[in-house]
Amino acid sequence: MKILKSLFAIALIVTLFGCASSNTQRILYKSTDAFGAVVDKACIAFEDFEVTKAIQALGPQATRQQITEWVHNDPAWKNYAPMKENFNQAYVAWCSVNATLVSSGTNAVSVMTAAQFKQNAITAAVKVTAFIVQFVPSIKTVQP
Amino acid sequence: MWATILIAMAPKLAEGATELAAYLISLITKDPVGTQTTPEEWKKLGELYAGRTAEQGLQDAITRAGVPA
Repeated sequence: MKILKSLFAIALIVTLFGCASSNTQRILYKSTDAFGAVVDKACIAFEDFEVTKAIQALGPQATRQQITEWVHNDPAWKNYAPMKENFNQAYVAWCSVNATLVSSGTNAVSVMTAAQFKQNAITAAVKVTAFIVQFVPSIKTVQP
Repeated sequence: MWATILIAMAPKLAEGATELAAYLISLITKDPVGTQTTPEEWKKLGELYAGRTAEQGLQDAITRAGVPA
């Protein structure tokens, strides 16, 4: 009976793990989506902050072209833009790899490769978010 | 005898355990049981961010500020 109980416990654990792995993709998708949304929100806050600064410097009658030029010349934007591009590219590549993983299985794209893409996206996200975080006190005080 | 009963019940027990685990996962992820992510969903998510470049973000921010095109 003891052996049977142990066998049953092992079978149950295996079943639970099997089930968990069949849902892993869904959990990964949800967490990736949420992760992207958090970084995106931070980016939107920074982009709004830059535009607010430009309007305050140029005046309320500033045109779209003038605001764009002012922001392009701002040192903070010059640092931010490549980081944001880097994050976008890394995130898009990560999603693309996951799409291939789902459609073709792990034979087409190795789990190691997928993990590397994920790591790239996280590194890029951390860089851009850390950059934005240093502006949080200013973002809070600058009113649109 | 017990072994025979257990073996006969095993598929049903496994099925029940699977459903229970899927239900618990669905509670955590707030997602319907058994839903799988499709390649299209991943592609859509990627496309969403492919369009969110720094320049596009800037233009969107200018629009939000109420500056006409």
